[in-house]
Amino acid sequence: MAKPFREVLKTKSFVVTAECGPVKGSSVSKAVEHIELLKDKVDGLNVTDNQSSVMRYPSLGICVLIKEHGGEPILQVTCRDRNRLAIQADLLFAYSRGVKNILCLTGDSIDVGDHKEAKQVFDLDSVQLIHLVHTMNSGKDMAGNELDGAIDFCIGTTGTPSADPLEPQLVKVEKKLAAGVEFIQTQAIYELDDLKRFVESVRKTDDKVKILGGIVPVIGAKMAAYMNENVPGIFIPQRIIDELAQAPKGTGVAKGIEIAARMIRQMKEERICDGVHVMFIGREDKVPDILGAAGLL
Amino acid sequence: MIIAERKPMEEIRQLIAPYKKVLVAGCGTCVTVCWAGGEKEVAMLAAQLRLAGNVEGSELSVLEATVERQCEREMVAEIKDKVAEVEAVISLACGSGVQTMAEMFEDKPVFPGVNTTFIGMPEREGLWVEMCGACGDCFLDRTGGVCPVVRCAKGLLNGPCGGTRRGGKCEIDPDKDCAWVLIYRRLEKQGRLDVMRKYYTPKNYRAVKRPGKVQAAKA
Amino acid sequence: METKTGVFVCNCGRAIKNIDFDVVAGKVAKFPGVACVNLSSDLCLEEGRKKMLSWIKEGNIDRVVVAACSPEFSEHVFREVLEKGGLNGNLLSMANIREQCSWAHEGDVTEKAVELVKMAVNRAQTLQPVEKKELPVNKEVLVVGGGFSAISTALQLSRIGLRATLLEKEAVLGHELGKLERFYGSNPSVMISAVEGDKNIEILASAQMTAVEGKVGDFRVGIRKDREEVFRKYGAIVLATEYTTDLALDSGMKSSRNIVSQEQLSNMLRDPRLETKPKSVGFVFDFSDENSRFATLATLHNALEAKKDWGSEVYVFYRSVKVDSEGLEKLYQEARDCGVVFLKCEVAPKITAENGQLKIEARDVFLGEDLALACDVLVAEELYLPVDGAGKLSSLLNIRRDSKGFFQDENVHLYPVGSERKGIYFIGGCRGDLDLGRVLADISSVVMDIHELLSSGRAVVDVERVRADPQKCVACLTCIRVCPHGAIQLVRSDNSKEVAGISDLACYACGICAAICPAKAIVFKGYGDDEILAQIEAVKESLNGRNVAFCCEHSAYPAADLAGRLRLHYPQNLRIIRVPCAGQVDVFHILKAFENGAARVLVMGCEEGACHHITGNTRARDRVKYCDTLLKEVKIDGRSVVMFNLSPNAPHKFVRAVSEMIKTTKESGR
Repeated sequence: MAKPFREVLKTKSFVVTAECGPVKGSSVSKAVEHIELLKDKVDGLNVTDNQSSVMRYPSLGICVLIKEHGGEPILQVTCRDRNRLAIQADLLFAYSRGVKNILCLTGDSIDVGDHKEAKQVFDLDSVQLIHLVHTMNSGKDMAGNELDGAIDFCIGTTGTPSADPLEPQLVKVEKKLAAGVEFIQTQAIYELDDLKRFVESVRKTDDKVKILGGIVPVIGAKMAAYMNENVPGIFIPQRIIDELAQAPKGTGVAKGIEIAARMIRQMKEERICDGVHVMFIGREDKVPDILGAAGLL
Repeated sequence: MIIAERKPMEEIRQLIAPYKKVLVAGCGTCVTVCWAGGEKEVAMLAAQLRLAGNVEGSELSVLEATVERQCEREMVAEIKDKVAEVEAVISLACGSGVQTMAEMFEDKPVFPGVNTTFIGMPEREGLWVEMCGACGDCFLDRTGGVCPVVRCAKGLLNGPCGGTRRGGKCEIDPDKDCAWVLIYRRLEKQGRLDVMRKYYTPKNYRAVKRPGKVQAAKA
Repeated sequence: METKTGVFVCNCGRAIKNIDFDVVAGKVAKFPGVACVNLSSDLCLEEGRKKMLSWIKEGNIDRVVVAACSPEFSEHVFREVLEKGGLNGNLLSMANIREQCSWAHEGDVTEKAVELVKMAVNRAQTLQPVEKKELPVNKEVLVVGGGFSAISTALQLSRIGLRATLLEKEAVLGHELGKLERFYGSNPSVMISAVEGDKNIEILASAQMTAVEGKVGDFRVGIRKDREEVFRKYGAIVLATEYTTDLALDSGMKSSRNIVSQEQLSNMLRDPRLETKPKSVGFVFDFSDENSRFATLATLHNALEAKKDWGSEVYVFYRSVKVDSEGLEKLYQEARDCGVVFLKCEVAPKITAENGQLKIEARDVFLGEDLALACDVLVAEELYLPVDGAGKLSSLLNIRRDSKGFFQDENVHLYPVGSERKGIYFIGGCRGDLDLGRVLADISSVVMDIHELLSSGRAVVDVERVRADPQKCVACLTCIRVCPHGAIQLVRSDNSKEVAGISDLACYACGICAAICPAKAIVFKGYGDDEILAQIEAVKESLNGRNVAFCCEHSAYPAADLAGRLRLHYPQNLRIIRVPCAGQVDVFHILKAFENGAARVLVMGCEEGACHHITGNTRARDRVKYCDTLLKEVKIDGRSVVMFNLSPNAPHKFVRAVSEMIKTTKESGR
């Protein structure tokens, strides 16, 4: 049985989490493989929620599976697909099955996904979602009704250290901190100075929240350039693109892992932040390699 | 003002395919100003339809009429004679005008010739942008006069989301500004960033229960 | 409306041989609304005009059609005849049966002539009178600036009896005048005292423009002086702000003590306390900016002085020395004779500092060798730039600037001193033009123009030739934003509604507003929808297979006339509709032409960048593109609309465009 995530946050000096992306379909065999591979190597395992607005097996379902297999799940909840009733109902179910860690997100827009004509719900935004979870933690629903059964979620959220412009993002992060979060998992970082600046800014308001730097290996110079242009909130500096470009053909993945591991080691050794959140969707089987290369296994 | 855009020609022609005599009805207010359905657009569409009608060898007689405001029964009544002459009407007014026409002339099919898109303003001549979502619960005071309900792609009240592109552009469309960056800058100029730092509770999405109705106080 | 049109046909001294005038007269007499047809052979001569006048007086007609030579040639002549005969001059419509018919085609052109007359008759029947009236205009002129151009303008205006206000940002006038003294030997203090003593000239120093409202004859200008803002009224505004200079160097080199500007060198030459005379002086010019003769003057002058006064070695690095201004060639000769060394280079020399000395490396074109010279002092190339605040002036006055930031686009129709707004002029440095000879000529131009405009205190205008109907105007502001001449404002109509108001004096009658008005509220007498549609309707029966060309009167129409004059032939089945600007042709005019059977439509306007009305040809181009998509939407084959740009002196281009278009018409079998 894995330790509760809240406890790990309080006691461990460098927390490690990773991410599991569900597939389209009712078969969970692949998910179970990933769970078995990673559950003992990380402190918490995130499951994405219709990531990139592509319809998939629900994160709630995989989180329940993780719990059943002895791992520690982190349920990602976006505001895109469900209104406040549906979200509260899902959270009641989650808690009843032992899924006690929530990551509160706004969610990508419908346009990037595969159901482009669907209605975007966004009944709530991520800050309101954090408040909602606190409300439920205090034993009430959003309408003020008493809830049957105690609830105590560990609440986390995201941040975007490489945003441009940064100031409006920081205003929002402040609001999230004011609402009360126990951990932050950032968007993918490639420039550690951006992460340092972000952590400094957060610490001014809240010195207790744990910040886990997001790491997404990038496996080719072209991919890196594409991401810089098209993925919001990401900034890959030229030196990393050059390093990737110089890697011999066919070694892209290995190079990406090398760079990622190097950054993680630096994050740990220089105590830039409180941990790392590794995202390698589609290549979950390679996550142990990254952790190994970073000296975290 | 209400902004509309003419429907694709294929769609319009499909709508009137079964008919031999139609009326193109314009409106002299919003759709005139946004170049979608005024007297001029009526003339252009009618000319196109007549040309197209001839080419296919089928007869198509097209009448033209423009009403000052198509959402007023009294004004619509002024063209009743022309409506009586035709088999169907293509209205270039906004949805409000189309429905008024349909109500006034219940026995005639009235088809929409434009797509009503939003309440907006001209950014410059020929370019209109969405400004207001008619949500019935205006809070522009808190956002420095920039409406996140329609100008933020996700309608967030505590924005921005993490998807803002470099330079302050929207996740969805790099040509559009991130509304929350605009809000930040506006409030910064006014020295009111504390307003943005406040937490805003979830929106009352039932402020206007559709179909909406507003009764003015008796004069 | 019932009208009685009198048609006058001229055979141009019997020189027109390929039209059967009897047939024409016979057919025309049968057109509805035609009261009489008169044949003549000398309509524009005194005899012919007298006869025409008596026919008008007797014939009881209220519209006149003249089928003869081009209206560009004779319209004003016949307008006068109408006025003499008691008819409003605007009730004249002309059929161009000479340049654009008889002379343009081979073989018999009787049928086409008849059709051209029919178009003119139809048009005549839609014409409305345009009255004239006198408007009072403010006779005072605002001259912005305090340098040579501004002061000279004010003095010349005063000489012709007009009062001028000099508006200068700095505390004193003429702080740039020293340059003139140096290079032209004039005495600035004489100018300053002349201006200060002149009763007709008011000097407002330390003052700035804050707002400009209104239009020619009636500008209201906000001026801030000593923290107070006042509003003054003027009939015309002349911008005579000067320019500023910068050195064409990297910022690193700019701070080098041995690199100076022309002015600094002049000061050195005059400085009695100069300790060491430089042994070698270098000049660099003409690599960045080709246009300034002032740079040439300054360089030659200073180079010569340096040679004569200091006896230094003087090197001038140049790309070309252009001496097409007064006195320059002589100066150049003198400089060479004195021993100034001129080095022609293709690219600007490389300048570096080595051990406190300047090293200049360049490749001399004539020697074909790379040179490296050391200089004690180098006069770097100067860039002439618009003053700070030019941008603000531009938006206050609602006037464009060119790509370098100077006023006065290189638009040939506005050249040399006008702007796109009547009553606003530019001279001198703010135009990027620094050559004194040209500046003096420009000042005379401006003063003459202003004299014509304002001296009588009254201007004669066409009353409401272009008018926004307050009943139909929805105040969408499109015309106000779009008018290239700034002639439209929001005004209150009789029933207090806010509508667009077009100023009769500031309007150029281009019709761009009429074409773009989404409510079709703007009526343009003479060239409006009714007039254009009437001409198209006139040839409906024969329009099948015909081609229609909307020709702008500043470009394609005169080009077509010139083609006729040169007897350049093109096929007959073209019908030309004269418009004041290509930007006045609307999409539904074009669609109506197609609806009435036309096969091809050509819209012809001025060359890009040279539209008489600035944006007309661009709008026409975009509209033609849009019209093309509308046609494609309904999959009309074999019909197309094309935009063509040309200048008025390009008859061959006209013929080529038209012939190509007609050829494709033939090929598609229509």
